[in-house]
Amino acid sequence: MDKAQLVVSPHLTQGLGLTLMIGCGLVFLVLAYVIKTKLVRNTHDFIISNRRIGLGFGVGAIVSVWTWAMAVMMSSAMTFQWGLSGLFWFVVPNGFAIMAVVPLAKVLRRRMPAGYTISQFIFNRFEQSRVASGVVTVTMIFGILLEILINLKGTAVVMSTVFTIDWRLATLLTVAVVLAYSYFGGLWTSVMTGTINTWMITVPSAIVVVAVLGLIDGGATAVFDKVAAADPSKLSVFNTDAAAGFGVTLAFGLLAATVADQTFWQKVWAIRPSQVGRSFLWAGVLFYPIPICFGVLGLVGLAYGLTPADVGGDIVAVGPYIISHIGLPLVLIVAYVLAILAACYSTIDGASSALSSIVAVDIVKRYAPKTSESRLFYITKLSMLLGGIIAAVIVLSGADFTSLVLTTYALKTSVLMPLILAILWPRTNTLGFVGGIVLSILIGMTLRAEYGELVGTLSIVAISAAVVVAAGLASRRSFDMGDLGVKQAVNLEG
Amino acid sequence: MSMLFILFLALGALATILFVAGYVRGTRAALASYADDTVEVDDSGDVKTYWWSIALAVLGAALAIGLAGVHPLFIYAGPLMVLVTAAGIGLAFFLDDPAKARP
Repeated sequence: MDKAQLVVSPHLTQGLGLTLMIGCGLVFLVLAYVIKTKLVRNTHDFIISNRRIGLGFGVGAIVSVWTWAMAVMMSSAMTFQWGLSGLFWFVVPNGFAIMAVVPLAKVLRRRMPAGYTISQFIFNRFEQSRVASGVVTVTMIFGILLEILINLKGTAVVMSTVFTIDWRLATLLTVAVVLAYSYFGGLWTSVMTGTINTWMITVPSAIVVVAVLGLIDGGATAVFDKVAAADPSKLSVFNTDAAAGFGVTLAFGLLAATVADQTFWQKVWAIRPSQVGRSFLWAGVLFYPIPICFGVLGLVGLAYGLTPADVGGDIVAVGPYIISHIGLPLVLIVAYVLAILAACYSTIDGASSALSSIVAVDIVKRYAPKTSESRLFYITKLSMLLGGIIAAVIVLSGADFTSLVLTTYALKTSVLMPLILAILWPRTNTLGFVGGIVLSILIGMTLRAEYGELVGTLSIVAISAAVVVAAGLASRRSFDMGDLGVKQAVNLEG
Repeated sequence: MSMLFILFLALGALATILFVAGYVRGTRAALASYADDTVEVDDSGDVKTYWWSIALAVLGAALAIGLAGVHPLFIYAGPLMVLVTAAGIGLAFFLDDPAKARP
């Protein structure tokens, strides 16, 4: 196994890459049009699917929105960088983060059966506090923008690595394609196309990875022996460097990414009540194999002795590099690209759909409650386009979006514990909720700048929880969770 | 094409058949019930029933990754399990009967 054997496969033309991107979008556009005609009557259907999503679509949709294009490539990249311990710390918290929603989702769905958004819950929970709900709304919007940005970047990496398509063109095309089909059917489109995307991510990836191993003399055994010979610690999951390097921080970040994300809460209220818990449990279980499968490509990269410079400097490209250079037949390279595109499209349309629910419920209905149903419907749909356009402009401008990543990280991590306590602990109050978020950001981000990400993350989580608990114990008031279901009901059913 | 590759193609085809059959069933159910405004009840049991499943899932994933470093055969566990994901989603459509959930 010599990396000199790796040469770029022929026939990977830009035309083929563009055809895949557009073709995929056209198929979904037709499906979205049918969905719009048959399943969407009003804003309520558009953003919450009349709460009729069953177990199959629920699981498929959750897996698809959680499988980011970047995550698919990161599982290979983390294995490439840290060995199996990198894969372990990347994968294990990832699936757990989905399943961690189960208890919160079941509790909240029972107490507030007609909800739409997590900001709406906070609004009702904290005596219509616009500060508390505003913080959560801003957190959700930042998170959604970041989801779209990162997936756009992931697609640009793949299309430029495999087909040498200009990354700006890939970005523009992705936004245009996804928003075109998402615009029609809202959440129903997102879950039905997302479920198809889950198939596109799973079955082809299994066949592609086995084909990659088949092209190596000695198959998996040769890969195993080569990695063991070069650095046996890369075959162990007990390398603590990976945990300290990114694992622990990632684990909290991933928890915040599901628990403090409207993309998932929208599904909590859209899935039929008896299937909510099962959907998140099954999604967590069935998600696990996806990054484990793609992680094999990282081992192959290690076995070939590739360096970051060989794959263009960014280790995220190690998966696409192996696929396009190991000598796979064109059809399997196309299958891999479609898997990445599917991961990207499904996450962006899921995020756009979540954004539409926030705009409808937490902005328009809250600040302009007399808005007519027909106008609300159009504003809701247009908000999806606006979110995509803003994300595309940020990516295309070449701006360093580190500040957006940092802001979103701070907001999401600081909201995590106060949100969990607001759902589970009746003594959580407005002062503790808002104070916990503000203080943890102020102190935690300062500590993060001084002592690094691990200390910063642990500080934010600990301070936010401590402030909420202290404020709750200091007050004798206890919130009656029974009030959630009837307070300030929002009617979007037209 | 190696025997292993052919085996994975066959398993992939089986997973796809189950997935498509489930998807069609789920779509029919969605079309039949989308305008149904019946309020359903949550009969899925207490949250305590989920903890064991969650713990087993986390343990299983950790084990699958760890074993890939013990014997090369386990490197194929990821591709094999990902086919179970596709088949599992197909199966999920069959385990959910909206008619039973109505009070």
